[in-house]
Amino acid sequence: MKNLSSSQFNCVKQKAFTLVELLVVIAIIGVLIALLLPAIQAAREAGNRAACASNQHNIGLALHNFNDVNSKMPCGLTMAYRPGNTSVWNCPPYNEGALGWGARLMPFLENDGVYQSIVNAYKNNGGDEALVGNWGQNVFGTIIPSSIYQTRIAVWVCPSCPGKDLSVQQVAKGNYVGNTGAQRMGQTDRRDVTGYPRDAACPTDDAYKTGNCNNGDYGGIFFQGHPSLQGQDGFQVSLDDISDGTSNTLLLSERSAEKVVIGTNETRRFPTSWIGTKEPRAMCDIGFSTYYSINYKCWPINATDGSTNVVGEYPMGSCAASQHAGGVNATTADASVRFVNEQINAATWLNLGSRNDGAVVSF
Amino acid sequence: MKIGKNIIVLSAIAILIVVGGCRKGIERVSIDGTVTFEGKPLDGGYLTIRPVAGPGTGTAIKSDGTYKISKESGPMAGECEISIERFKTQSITGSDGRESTVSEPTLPEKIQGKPKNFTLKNGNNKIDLDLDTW
Repeated sequence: MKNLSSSQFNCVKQKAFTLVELLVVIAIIGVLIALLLPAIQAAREAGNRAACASNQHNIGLALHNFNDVNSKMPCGLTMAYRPGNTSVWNCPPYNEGALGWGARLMPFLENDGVYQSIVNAYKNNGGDEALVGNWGQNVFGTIIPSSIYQTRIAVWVCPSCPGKDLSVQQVAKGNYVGNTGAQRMGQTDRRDVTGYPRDAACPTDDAYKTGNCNNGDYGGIFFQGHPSLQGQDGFQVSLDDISDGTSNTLLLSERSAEKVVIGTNETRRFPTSWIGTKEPRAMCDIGFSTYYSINYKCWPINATDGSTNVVGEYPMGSCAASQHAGGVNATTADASVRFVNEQINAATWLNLGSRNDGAVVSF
Repeated sequence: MKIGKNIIVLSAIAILIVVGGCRKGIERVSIDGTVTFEGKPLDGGYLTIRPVAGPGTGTAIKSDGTYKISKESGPMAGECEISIERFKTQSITGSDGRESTVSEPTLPEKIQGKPKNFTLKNGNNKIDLDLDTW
């Protein structure tokens, strides 16, 4: 009897799970889910990064098509004169703003409707329609209704940059920036770094140092227009001017709008604007410089630079930056997109920014 | 029950591998010091550090000549180039009567933006920069 009873007990025991076994299984499932969740997030981010690279590729191809049609790249930022005073070459005023290269590129990005709206706005609101074609001194603040450029256009926005972050940009929403070169970018710092076409009024070095001769060329591909160069179009380079080779020179990169925390201090990077921009951000909104490394952080941001200039914002607001983990997507001038690690050597990144420094880059 | 315990142990090891396996970023160092020019602290300017290996960094120099770059935004240890720039904004009238705003360098040409080599060690680096011997 005793043996039988024992055998019956064993039989009952094998038919059911104990509490401990159930807990172990639940724990294993928990661990597996915990492993899976980050993988899903990583897969989503990988998808976003690929979509971002695709956007950059499309913009790069559009720039090539633009170059084919116009024999040169679009002017980075137009608007050489302050309205009402055609003798002053200045930054775009706060309330007016200047058109950027992105606006002119719209027909090549299958956004002809937006482009026509811009042209019609000039026609209907007292602007000089003919100037749109020449991209001379075109302000947009009082002429183009904000509804035209504040619509979100997918090709200009990186999916990894959340919409609530983008909202700090009050003009047009965007994340892509053109390469301005390898020089420090500042509010009034428009140095002619390459000696390329100089103002006809300042043929000599002495005249150049004392006069108003800077052509705005930072050594990259996109610049702010200058009144006396090539009509009022500003200085525009073509693909032929890239003597370092189109695969060794950057064309585009991106800038995100993420929160930047340095110690106990907190600030936010500024995203970009395809339509153009207003002071004080000027070139920062349409271009980036390789002078500062990728995802650059610095503090303080509000230090003076030996003058009344606020310079701190420019390093963080003029570098390439993204919310992809560990780097940015960047497009070289042959329109190929690659992911560049933020730990790339500063000197290599610097050389990639200049179109004609002659430096050998292994990239 | 023995199998159950083994599963618990194995699960714990798996979690440890996952948590412990997270990749580390590059090893950065912090830097601070004072910039002096003509025997006095330099009142403002911008300092840029470009290391031989790894990304560059920089900071604004405060009006008392001091600067500080924290570890989280600092460069990697090793050889690096440090350069100082300082600008003054001016309104200029050209020979044709046009006005323009330009920023002019305010340090001598041999100092402004000219890199000088330094070696950074791990941990905190105190580097005082005397521009008179640049």
